[in-house]
Amino acid sequence: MSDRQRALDHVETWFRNRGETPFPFQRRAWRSFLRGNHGLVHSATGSGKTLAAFLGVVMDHLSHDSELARKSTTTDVGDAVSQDGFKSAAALRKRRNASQIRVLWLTPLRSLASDIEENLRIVCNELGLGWHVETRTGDTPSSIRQRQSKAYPEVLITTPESCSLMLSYADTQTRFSELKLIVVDEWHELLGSKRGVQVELALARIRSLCPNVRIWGLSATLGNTTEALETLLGSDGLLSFELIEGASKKKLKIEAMLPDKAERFPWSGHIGTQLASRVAEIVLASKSCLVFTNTRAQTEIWYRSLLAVAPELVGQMAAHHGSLDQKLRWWIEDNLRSGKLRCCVCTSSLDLGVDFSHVDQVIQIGSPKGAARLLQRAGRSGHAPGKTSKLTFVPTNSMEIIEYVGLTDGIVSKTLECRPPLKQPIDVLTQHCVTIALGGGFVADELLQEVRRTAAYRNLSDEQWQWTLDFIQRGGDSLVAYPDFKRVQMVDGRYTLVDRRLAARHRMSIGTIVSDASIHVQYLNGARLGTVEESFLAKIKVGDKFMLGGKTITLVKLYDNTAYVKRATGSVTAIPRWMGGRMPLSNELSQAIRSRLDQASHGQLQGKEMRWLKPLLRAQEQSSAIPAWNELLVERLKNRDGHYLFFYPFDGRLVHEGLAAIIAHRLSNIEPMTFSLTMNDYGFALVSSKEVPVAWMNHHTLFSDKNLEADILGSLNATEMGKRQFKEIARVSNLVFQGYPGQKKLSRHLQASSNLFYDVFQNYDPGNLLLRQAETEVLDQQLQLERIRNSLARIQTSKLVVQSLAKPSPFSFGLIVDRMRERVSSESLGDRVRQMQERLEKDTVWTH
Amino acid sequence: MDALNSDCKRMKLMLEGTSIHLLPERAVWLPQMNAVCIADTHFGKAATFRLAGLAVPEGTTTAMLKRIDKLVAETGAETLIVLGDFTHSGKVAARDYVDELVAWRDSNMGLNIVLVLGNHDRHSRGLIERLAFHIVQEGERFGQVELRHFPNSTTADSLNPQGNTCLVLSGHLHPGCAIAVAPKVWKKFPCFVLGQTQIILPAFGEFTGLAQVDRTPFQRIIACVEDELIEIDPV
Repeated sequence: MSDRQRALDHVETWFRNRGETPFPFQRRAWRSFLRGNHGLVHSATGSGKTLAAFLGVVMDHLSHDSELARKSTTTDVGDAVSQDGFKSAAALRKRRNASQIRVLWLTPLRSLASDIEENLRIVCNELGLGWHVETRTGDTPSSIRQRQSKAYPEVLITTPESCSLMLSYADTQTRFSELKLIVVDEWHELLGSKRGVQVELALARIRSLCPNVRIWGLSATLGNTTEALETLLGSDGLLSFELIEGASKKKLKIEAMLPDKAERFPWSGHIGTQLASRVAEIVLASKSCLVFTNTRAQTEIWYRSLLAVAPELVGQMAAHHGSLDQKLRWWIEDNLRSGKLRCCVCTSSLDLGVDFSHVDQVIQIGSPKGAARLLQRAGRSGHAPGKTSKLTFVPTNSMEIIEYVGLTDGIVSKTLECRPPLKQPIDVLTQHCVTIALGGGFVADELLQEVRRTAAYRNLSDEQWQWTLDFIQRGGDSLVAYPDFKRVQMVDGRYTLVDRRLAARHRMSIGTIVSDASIHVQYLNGARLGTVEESFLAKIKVGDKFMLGGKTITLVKLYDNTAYVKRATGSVTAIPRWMGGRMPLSNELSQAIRSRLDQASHGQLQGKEMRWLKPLLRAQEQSSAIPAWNELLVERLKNRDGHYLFFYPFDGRLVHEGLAAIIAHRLSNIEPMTFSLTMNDYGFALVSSKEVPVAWMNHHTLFSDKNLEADILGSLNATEMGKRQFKEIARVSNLVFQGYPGQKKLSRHLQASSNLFYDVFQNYDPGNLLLRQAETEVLDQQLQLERIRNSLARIQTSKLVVQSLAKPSPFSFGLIVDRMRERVSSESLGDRVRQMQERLEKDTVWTH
Repeated sequence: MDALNSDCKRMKLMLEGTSIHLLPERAVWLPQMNAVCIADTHFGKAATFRLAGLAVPEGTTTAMLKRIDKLVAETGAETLIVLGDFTHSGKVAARDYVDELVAWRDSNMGLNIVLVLGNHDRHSRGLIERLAFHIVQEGERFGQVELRHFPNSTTADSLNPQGNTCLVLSGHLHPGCAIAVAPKVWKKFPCFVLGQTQIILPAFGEFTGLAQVDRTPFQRIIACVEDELIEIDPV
């Protein structure tokens, strides 16, 4: 029996003793690793990816160490050899002076690390490996970090930031000398973000230090797996790799909670809590239940409404989102894990793989805007191989039922969302170069080769590289070399960072890619509640009541980046809104919706959800039209507010924002006029005081992609958008350092806002690549230029269907309400909308 | 928001018997004293940042000196009053801006420069001596006005106008206010804060931040928007 076979048997026996059998995809992953491959395991949440990635390296280790063992114990035969052999192998390892890291496990969230640590430790102990499993993240106390840098654990679990931080120490090479495997967990979460690029650079670095290391990514539900794998491994053609498709046949039960009656005139955000008692029924019928909402504000609202209809949930229910204090979140997660909490209302903060085995039901409030996210969330229930995931979808308006149908279509046809990776963000590169300069220094050409091996920077030009080097060495390119500037210096031909204060500040700033300006909220006695964004607090006055983590509190004072609060009773003045709450419709979902509408335009309503929507669709057809696949519906309406023009490309809010601005810009080029713009995920509205002639509705000129960029920049407040985008860039490239929330800032005379930097660059160094980056990010990410271009191309070949409305159509109703919303307070909005709905219903005779 | 009816380029006031012109260049012109007054130039701030490894391009010093020269030439002032924080940090002697300041001073020795020492000036006494400024104490009377770096408490100023019989000019705060430049797009601008007996000047320096001021019923806020002055509607 070969050593390898023996190792395999050992692992298989361990599985049997647990009463399980390995899944075929797990076996495939192990074999692939043992053949020396890199790879990506793409499999549903909770299907056993962790073991697929981990046990390959374990077997490799077992087969080598048993060889060592046999040399030292010559007499034993058969099974006894291996059992005994492993023990002495463990002893042998202990005799070594210092252990080395063998497996580096990267996870996007700190909160996941402890969970993985626990799982892997059990595996290591039960297999008798004698391996230590430890975590090293921003939360790890410095005493433990000190110990770790003296004696490394064999398995180290860490975040991308902490991994980069390790690269900033000069002993990196010795730390990783025994490294065999790097696992990048939840790669789909990192892909498409700057943290993903940070990982790409770190991987390229580690591969240069230890060429034999193998890289395995783990990803759930993703549309572009091949691209994900290529991005993970970089553009090095010599690597052998394998894409392991896992058990996708996780049993899934998804259903929509249909309100009793479909409204003909839907508007967003109001149905939700009317269904609270039905949601509470499901919660009470389940063992443990997660209620996902799309925004942190919704989380607070639903927590209150559920308590109101089911007071018996007091003490068994919690609210969880990213702005709550870490300790509070840990407490909630622990109690979910142990099954003590019946229900938790949460945001994407609980999207990722923490294993809550007690959760048997997931409720999704509002459209998750993408099939991948729906699957991910459904997978939070029945989170174990073989169990069924159950999800109930609760619409917040009738139109969301079409989205739900589109989502399930996507799941059936397996057209999941792609996450396109980012291309060469200069800010992340400057940060990385300083990190490497700090971790022992670098020779420019060598580092360039390494950087170009990553997918993100494979097309980095020589000029861009030179600018990056100049930026960290001189502050600006050779023409505007900044006097007295020093960060990275040339020492013996190597770019090196020697200044200790600069080093300390750089290390602190590595972790700040994700954090935004936030303010701590804490009780007067010091207990911390969480954070809110500065912009929210700016609107809160002392004495105002607001909610955080399901608790009603009132602001006492604001001092030194901390909001001091005390408990309060009574109704709240405000619920914090955090940025980034609105997720745009995914491209794939937008297509699925248009396809369902196409069917409806031909009179086909398939499935009970579409039939439930019949009154709405019929009303749309009677008052206007339902657009077929190759049509773009345009509606015209005149009311007290002015002349409305509605367009329905169904391309998602972000794209509509850009499209609306472009169309308004082009119309006003024909004849000067002013428009106000409103958009949602289905379409956009232009409102003007003058009527736009039908003859102008020429889609070849209005929707042309000629001069697109110029028109966008001319029509939107691009400078202001660029400034906002520059905030993050300035943080990543270490121009501004805000410190962590609650921590003291650096010496005050070195504080300047990113706005000041933006202005001073604009005036004195306009060639600065970081400014260019802000511009590109605005176009590509905020405005989604590529999707706008695709959308225009599609509309060019579509037929324009222009309808003149006598009264608002169901599609237009939501946009009209959104426009009202900007001008009236939320209380009176509900009343006014109901009046409008009643009027519309009364004035019209609907045929069924 | 209401543009001033008269000349947008300057705003003429009479406070405590003193005639004052607010200028959109973030300066005050005192015709009776033939003096122009600015605050918080923070010379050397960019250089201090560069020394600390923060990349700030060069050029702010030159640009600021040119703006001062232009201001003096256009007003024909004999005296330049600086209400503190002329320099940003004296601990680091960054050569470039020191040399530039000395050369600039050598070329305009005819100009009388009066400085109230600000909190940032503590560490650059040596440089300030080299520049041959006339140093006055915090709250010292100069001609018809009282010069301060730190403003008098705004409530005390607005509620108890007794005590002071002359106009106070001060700086330190870097007051700024937000104006909607497009729907939902707010931009911050430096501004003057006018109390009953006190004017707080905006920071003259380019690479300096702004502190948003709260509007109170007793104050007027006049923003410097490019080359115009715009008064913000009272609350």
